[in-house]
Amino acid sequence: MSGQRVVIIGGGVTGLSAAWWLARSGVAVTVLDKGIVGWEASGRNGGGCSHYQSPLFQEEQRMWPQMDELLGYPTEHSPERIVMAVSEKQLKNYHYIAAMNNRLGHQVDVLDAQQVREAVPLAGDNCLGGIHYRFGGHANPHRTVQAYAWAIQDLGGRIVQHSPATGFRTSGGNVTAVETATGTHECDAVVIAAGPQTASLLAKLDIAMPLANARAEMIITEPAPLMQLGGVDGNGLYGRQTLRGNLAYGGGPHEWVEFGELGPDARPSTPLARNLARRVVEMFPKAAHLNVIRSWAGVVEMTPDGRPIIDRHGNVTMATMSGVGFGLSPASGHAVRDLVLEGACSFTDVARLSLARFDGIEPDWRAQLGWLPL
Amino acid sequence: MLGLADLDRSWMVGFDRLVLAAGARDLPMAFPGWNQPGVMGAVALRVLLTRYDAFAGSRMLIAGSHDLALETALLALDKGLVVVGLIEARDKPQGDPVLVAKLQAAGVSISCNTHPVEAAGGINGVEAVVLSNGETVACDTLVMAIGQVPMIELADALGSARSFEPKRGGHIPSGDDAISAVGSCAGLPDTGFDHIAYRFDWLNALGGACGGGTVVCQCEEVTVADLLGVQPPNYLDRPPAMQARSLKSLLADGPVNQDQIKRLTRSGMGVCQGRRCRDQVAMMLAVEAGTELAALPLATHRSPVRPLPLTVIADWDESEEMRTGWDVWMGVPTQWVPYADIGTPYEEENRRVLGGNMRL
Repeated sequence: MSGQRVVIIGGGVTGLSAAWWLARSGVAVTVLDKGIVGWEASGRNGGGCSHYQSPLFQEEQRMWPQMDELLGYPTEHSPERIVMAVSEKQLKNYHYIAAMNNRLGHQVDVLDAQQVREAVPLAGDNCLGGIHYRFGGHANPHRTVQAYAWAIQDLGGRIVQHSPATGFRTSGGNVTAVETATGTHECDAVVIAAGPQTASLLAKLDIAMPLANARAEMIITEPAPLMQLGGVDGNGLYGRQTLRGNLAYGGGPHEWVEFGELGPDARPSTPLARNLARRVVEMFPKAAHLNVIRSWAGVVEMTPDGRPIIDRHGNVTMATMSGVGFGLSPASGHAVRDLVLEGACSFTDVARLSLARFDGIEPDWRAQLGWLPL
Repeated sequence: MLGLADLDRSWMVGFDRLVLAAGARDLPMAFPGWNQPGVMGAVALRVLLTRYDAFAGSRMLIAGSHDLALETALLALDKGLVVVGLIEARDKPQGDPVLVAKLQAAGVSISCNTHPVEAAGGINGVEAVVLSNGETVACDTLVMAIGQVPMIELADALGSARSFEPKRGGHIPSGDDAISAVGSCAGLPDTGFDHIAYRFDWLNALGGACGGGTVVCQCEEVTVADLLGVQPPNYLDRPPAMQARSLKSLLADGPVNQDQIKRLTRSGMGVCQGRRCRDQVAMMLAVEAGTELAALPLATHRSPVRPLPLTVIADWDESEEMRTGWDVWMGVPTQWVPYADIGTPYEEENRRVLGGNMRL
């Protein structure tokens, strides 16, 4: 397998993991990024690693406990998650999710309100109960993306930053080189995992990928005393307590946005921070006094059904995780590696993640879904 | 839109024109012992002396000799405090000669070619400052009067244009039809003095006094060695590959970026929102990377630009639409159907039970 040259466009978590898996197989990888690795949604997200809905779930769960050791750098991975309810509707939904997971063989325990309060000291009298995922967990997005990049370099791979891909050279239907503002990179295969820019890059190869972009925001508080489990969310929020103690939470109505080929040039937060703060106080009444010290906003790309696209056309492998890429990255990189080197995923079925499921989609699909920018 | 807050609540206001008069803040710099009570900035001292009448010290040494330091010394004398002297890293007093003469007439001397190498103290803070000239000065306060930084965080978070002006104190907002700045946040008065060059002379002097273990970011307890080594906080493991990384190895990947260093080391990530360390960290990164400070991308300012309690920033009057239209993540039910359930009756059950829109 060695001797192959693969160029990965996109130094987000999906592209970096793909490059890492390829480099581990002896492939000469070059990762191109328009800016700095992990600078977009890969570096600013909830850090969750509990994606029971995905065909990559088993691999996600198998890989995370090993990632620090395999990468050689800390990711702050911490296991398990509690999801807590403060309304009857939430409790009903969370109980359904617990039963669904148990049916599928993923252990989720149902907690009564007192059990939640014992496990989550910041919870209050308004807590109605919760569920405890005995799998999954969370990690630090910033640290993890840099860990992938460094691990790739340690395996002999190249990370080329500040080099947006501008075009392709092709021969006989295959890509032979990727052109960037700073140089041309010849390749035997290419991986396109460029987040919101994936569609415009694929369009240069006459491949149509339906994607819409949305803004997501989170707020961060000053540190609170560490809870025994940092992976706590609920009340319609996603997020975690970091190992430093900060509470980091997002959620809410997401704004559909549009921008040019190089992505958004700034990611200003919006007044949604105030609604997030209210939800955090409702979830954690005993944290109400904590200061909010910053907020993030990032942009994610979504497919029409919200599911990933992991597929290969000729020597072009494409991957979008449709807004849920961070936690699944140890597995998505493995799947991409398999598609690039073997033409098929070796460890799970990803057939329903093919691009072909959107063949014939109507051009105004975003309008039909109500996914147009306001 | 602008977010405002008082002690109890916050609210949003729209504007046609916004005039910012946020002032300037202290530029502290690290040296051994700077992270204890009694080491403070000149701006903070002036506020304690004038606005609050709440300064507890009595005997102070002042670092710096430009106008900020000279004016601070004269104010302290006017308030009846003891100023044991000024120290200046450069070879002569830097500020307005009239102010220098006034201070000297009051019997306050300025020691040049001198900087602190350590602030020594006990449980109540500073008791003495050891100087590079070998002297030890007994005092309860060391006032850092090396510079002021125009407070542009609000303008920057709003996306206003800005420029880097060494004679105006660094990054200042350019101003436009909608947002303008007045007073110190628009830039320090241009007297021809290069504030940035002066700060670098002080950074060079104080940096020589620092050891690897000197704390630079007090909120997150990031040391000089860990900042320049790009090492994670102490609660994480540092395996051999991690220890082999540094700012130098990161520079091989591209120009230095303070936000990236912040994410990796946590410097500037604490409850002061970086106000105490971000400027000196930027200077340290520029020195280490061999780049001009002006060329270093300005670390981002993020809202809220002041720490605000969750209860204060929270919108307690949110709309019913916000309340009922809330979803965890995009509200696309098919996204969360387990892969094995796709196309089975469970998919329809999932949609029905979870309401079809994932709203919570």
